[in-house]
Amino acid sequence: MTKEVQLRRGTTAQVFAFTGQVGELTPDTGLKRLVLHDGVTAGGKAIDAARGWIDGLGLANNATAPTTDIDIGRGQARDSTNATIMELTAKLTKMANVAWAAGNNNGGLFNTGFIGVAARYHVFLIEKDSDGSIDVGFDTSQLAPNRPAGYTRYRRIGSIQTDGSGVVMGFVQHGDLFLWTSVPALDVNDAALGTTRKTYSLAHVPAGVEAVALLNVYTAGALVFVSHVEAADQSPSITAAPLLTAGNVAGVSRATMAAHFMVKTNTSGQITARADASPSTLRVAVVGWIDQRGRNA
Amino acid sequence: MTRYVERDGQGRITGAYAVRQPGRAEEALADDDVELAAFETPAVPLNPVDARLAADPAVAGLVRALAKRFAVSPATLIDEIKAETR
Repeated sequence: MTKEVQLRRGTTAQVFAFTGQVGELTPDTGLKRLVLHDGVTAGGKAIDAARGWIDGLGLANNATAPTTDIDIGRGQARDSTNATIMELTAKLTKMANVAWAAGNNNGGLFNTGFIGVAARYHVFLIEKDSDGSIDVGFDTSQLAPNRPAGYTRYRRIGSIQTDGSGVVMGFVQHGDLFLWTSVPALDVNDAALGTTRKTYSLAHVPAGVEAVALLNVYTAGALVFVSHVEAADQSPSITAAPLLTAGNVAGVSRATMAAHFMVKTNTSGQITARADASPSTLRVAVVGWIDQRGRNA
Repeated sequence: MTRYVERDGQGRITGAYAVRQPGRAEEALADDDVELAAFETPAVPLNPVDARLAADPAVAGLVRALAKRFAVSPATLIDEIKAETR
């Protein structure tokens, strides 16, 4: 014979104000989680997924309307404040070029007006305060300030971009890795890089958040060291640290290319580079990026 | 598509970028701008071996003779010469 066991339980507010016995577990029926008590602390400690948790929620260009619509796969993520877990239980499709409206196959643009040209948007999972329903939308800010009223909780789950015609650029996602399906025009084409370090802003990485850019790099005429902006200003070398990212060895006419070289970008999408001779040519194409999608925020 | 260009003291384009580079490349040009196009797609320099073959008939004749002597195609022999002169 089975027995049904029920624990002392309550809404989120009730559990938050409750001081349970040492080792007591109380279900929070609002956030659907267990809280462990220590006999002294009101609200105890939630037993929940790890801080910053995200699983699934993969993004893809919609097969039928790849230049305007984004598919969002089912999955879970903690919200930006780590207060709760939001779950998208079925795939959603949202139109990036239409003002946001709740539900599948509806608009997803939080910002007013039309979708931008050569613009970068962040993709957010949002939760409606009144009924807990989950939706998705697009905002130019990494903090989703333009999300609809009544949706307090949000989580950034990725980024998309439009090209010079205002259509959504093609990409594929594998976890935190995003790759352009067609590598866009050069982000950097500099024929005057010298022995003084230069900072370059990249266009084809997310804006407003740090990421790891995956780059193809070409140089002619020198050794070049490409690095993140916080790195020490070191000169490239073929014998000593930091060595080089790409370069020509003296007397050899070929240029060297480094495929899928990785470098961290700052929140302004910037990297730095320095050559050992002036002038030198540096060309950089962004192949893709790695995005923590709100973890460690 | 707009590109942002950097110029040197003589006004020549020395850099082209997908986004504005504050303080350095703030001039926007359409990507079909003639001057920009000339900068972005420079003529590909001839390989030194190809350049020598094109410039000196004696060298080209020597390659043909060697190819015939060793029973390989001139193209194969030229590729081997390029590999040896890297």
